[in-house]
Amino acid sequence: MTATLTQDVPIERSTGYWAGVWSRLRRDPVSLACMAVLAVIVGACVLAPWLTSHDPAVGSVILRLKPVGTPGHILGTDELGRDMLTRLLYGGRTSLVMGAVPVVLALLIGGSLGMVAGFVGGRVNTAIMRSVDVVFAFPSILLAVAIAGAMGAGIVNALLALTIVLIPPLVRVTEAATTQVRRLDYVEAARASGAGAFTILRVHVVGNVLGPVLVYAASQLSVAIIMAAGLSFIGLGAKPPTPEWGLMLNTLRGAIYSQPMLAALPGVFIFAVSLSFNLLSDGLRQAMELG
Amino acid sequence: MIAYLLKRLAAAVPVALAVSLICFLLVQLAPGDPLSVVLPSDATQEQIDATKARYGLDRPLVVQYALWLGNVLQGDLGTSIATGRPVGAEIANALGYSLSLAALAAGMAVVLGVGLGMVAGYSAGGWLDKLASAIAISGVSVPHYWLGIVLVVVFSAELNWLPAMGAANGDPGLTDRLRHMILPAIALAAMPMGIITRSVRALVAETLGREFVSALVARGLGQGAVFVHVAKNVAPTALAVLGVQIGYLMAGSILVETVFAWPGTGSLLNQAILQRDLPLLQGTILVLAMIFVGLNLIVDIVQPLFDPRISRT
Amino acid sequence: MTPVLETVGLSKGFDLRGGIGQPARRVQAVSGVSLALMPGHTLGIVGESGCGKSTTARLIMGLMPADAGDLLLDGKAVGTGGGAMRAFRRNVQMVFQDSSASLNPRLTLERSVAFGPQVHGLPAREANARARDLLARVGLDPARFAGRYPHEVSGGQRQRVNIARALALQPRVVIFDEAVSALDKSVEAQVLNLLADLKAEFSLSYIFISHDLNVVRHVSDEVVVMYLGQVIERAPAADLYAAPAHPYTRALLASMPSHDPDRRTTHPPLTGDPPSPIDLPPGCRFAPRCPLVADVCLARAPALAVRGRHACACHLADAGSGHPQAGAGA
Repeated sequence: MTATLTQDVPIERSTGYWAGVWSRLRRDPVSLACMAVLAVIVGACVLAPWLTSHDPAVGSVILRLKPVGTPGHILGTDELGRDMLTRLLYGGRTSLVMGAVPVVLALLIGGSLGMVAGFVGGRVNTAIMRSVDVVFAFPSILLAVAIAGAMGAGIVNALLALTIVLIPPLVRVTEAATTQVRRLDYVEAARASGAGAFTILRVHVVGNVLGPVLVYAASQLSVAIIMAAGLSFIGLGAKPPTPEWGLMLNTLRGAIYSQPMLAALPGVFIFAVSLSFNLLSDGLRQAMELG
Repeated sequence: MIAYLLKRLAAAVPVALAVSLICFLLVQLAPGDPLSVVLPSDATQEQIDATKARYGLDRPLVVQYALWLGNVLQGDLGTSIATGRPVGAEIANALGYSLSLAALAAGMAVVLGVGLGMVAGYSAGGWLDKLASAIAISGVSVPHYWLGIVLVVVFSAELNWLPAMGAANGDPGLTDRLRHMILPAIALAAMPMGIITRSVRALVAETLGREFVSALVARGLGQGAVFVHVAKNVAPTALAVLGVQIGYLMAGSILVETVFAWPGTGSLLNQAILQRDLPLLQGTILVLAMIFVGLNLIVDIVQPLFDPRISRT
Repeated sequence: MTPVLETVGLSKGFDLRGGIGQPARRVQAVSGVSLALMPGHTLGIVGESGCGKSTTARLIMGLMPADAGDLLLDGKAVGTGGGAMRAFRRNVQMVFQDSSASLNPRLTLERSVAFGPQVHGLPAREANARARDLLARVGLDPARFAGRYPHEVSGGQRQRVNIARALALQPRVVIFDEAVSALDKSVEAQVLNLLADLKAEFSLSYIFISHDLNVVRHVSDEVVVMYLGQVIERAPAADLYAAPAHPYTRALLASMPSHDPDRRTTHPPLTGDPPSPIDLPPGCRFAPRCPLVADVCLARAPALAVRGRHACACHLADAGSGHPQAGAGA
């Protein structure tokens, strides 16, 4: 067979699947708004040192619980006189990391386990899925509290507890998707070409499984942020004086009657982030369905 | 049917055992020497060995587990380090409070959830659907502990309609009890309500869109009859979702109970964590997890009654 | 002449998990299938759904391990090791039935075709070039199609891509498993013509699996008829269609809708549904549905009786079988 040099002829390229998903997502007003909100909040937290000149750890006895709108302290001060805006921005870093890291780790670990279970099948599948079922027998919040409670307060312990709790549902979602994809003809054709398991997973399985898994992971981010802040709220997780939204909700409880706005403020951010992730997850699912 | 019942029970036993094993191993996660709580720091080696033997800590882990399990099955959950009272008694006291709170929250979640879900499903795409779905997703996304704080701020601090904390004292009448329960119940119910709404909405929309419904309408069946068909199709899955959510309500109430100082199992957990009271922690978690397993079992058993597609063999 | 591809006694069974209180059962999907493909020929395999034709194809391709039997390429046994399998797959490729899932929806058509060569070590640039050449060769202009995705092209075009994918590894044998069954008749005709051209141009040998008897007659040199996992008749195409020996083959051919309005087929000669390959009867597997069944058929499974190039697994064709009508001619 003579090889003609058709590679020099320009080829029309259609929009790829993910490019299509992105363009549909961009055009959905709700999703766009969520992405904007998240970008602003995350961006502000990352740029905290440049956005505020106050030190999150330094308080002032005379400036305690100043209301929103106090000159010099736009969002007021907390129960120890520390600037609220600063605490919120730095606290956001902690909260967001505590929410995102477990999800990313669970995605990597749980996703891999699920793909292996779905692809290999047989006894390996049974072993993995039964183990996952056992963890599922525990309600997630209880398990997170149990692990973190047993190990003691601390960010690392909380991260560990949350990762363990988030892995099983991700294994299930990934396994279901992989089992479905594995039976399709193009995977058989890939095997018939002589490709090894890793190559098939990389080229054919991951791309087709990623969709539903990402949708689920996005909704998990919402849950993770709430649980991470929740753990800090009851004294597990972040320890004072580390700023963290959930912890701040706890320490500001004394101000419920005197400065209710201050007391509620950290929770507004948790809510905003969580809501945005959930809406984004829905938007992503719709963008993928139409593709 | 009896065979199915027995099968499900049999399947639940290994799950329950695995759960008990996890509870047992939890304590092993705890840092530090468990003996340091009961022994003075200048204890001699003999005293240490004697105490170890008394608590059975010198035996291999498997044996310790078996002993512990044996005790648990006889109702002995150990003694609280902080209060010195039996753990079982402490839990029994608190359980009633948590159960009543969970029941009220579950009731709210079901009524609101199914109602909103039906409304949204029937008017799919319309403004009612959008409104109901917005409420639902807010419920799912709201941090329930924060919602509790906001409720306290609004209804207690600002409006002074309802009490902020605790269960009613002494021997309260029903109204007083309810007044104390309402705010924490709302906070607890938010997330399950949201999830139930979304599930019901999806089911209703899907059922209405299916061909057999069009066939029914073409045969002249009124909307009422269609509704019954929809309800029958939605019921099994809705039941399953509900069962799981009640489980979460029971087991996950710690955060809300902390906000409202509600003397339930959640507060007990909180206390156990703060005071590093490992027997209390372990016992409470075990009881709550078992309730969850039990609820799942009940859902498993009841589901085929609603959905004939699930085999009863 | 040595067959380019040969199977001897290929067998495969599946275990069905029993429920609680039910024993595990075995589905004998393929039993002792022996085929020979001559160089430059097309071997057709026909049979009803569930007769094991697709399973046989997958056994040959190594997509599942056989329980028993040998595979020979150019007369030499094919090893089961990884390296032997890879080498084998450069020689034998398969085209699946068109479905919405025969091509990876996330890959462009060019990448789908280039995948195989890349797996075997060809650098991306050359693999893509070969892919484009093949797309052109199967009638799809690379400038328009190489960068497209599967959902953007029609069923017939997808099958052409599948063919290009099979040819990308430059095999000598191509197995077509119901490859044209899902296509419209006009498209099917075009694809069959394309296959004939390609076979001549690239010196290929084909195994053509189908349940459509007309198509198989049109394309095949030899035909094998399968029933419940066994080869029950084997003959050159013309012989099989002119003088079928096995009662099943006769019934199958008689059930083809007649093109002559004066000779309409009014009642189906084969009664009953195709039985399941679980719980097989001890004697001839066709006995329960055979109009010419005798006692010996239920007791003993018939061996493949060979007469020249025509083989038939039926007691009727075997003079010494004990069947009352044996040896009375096909």
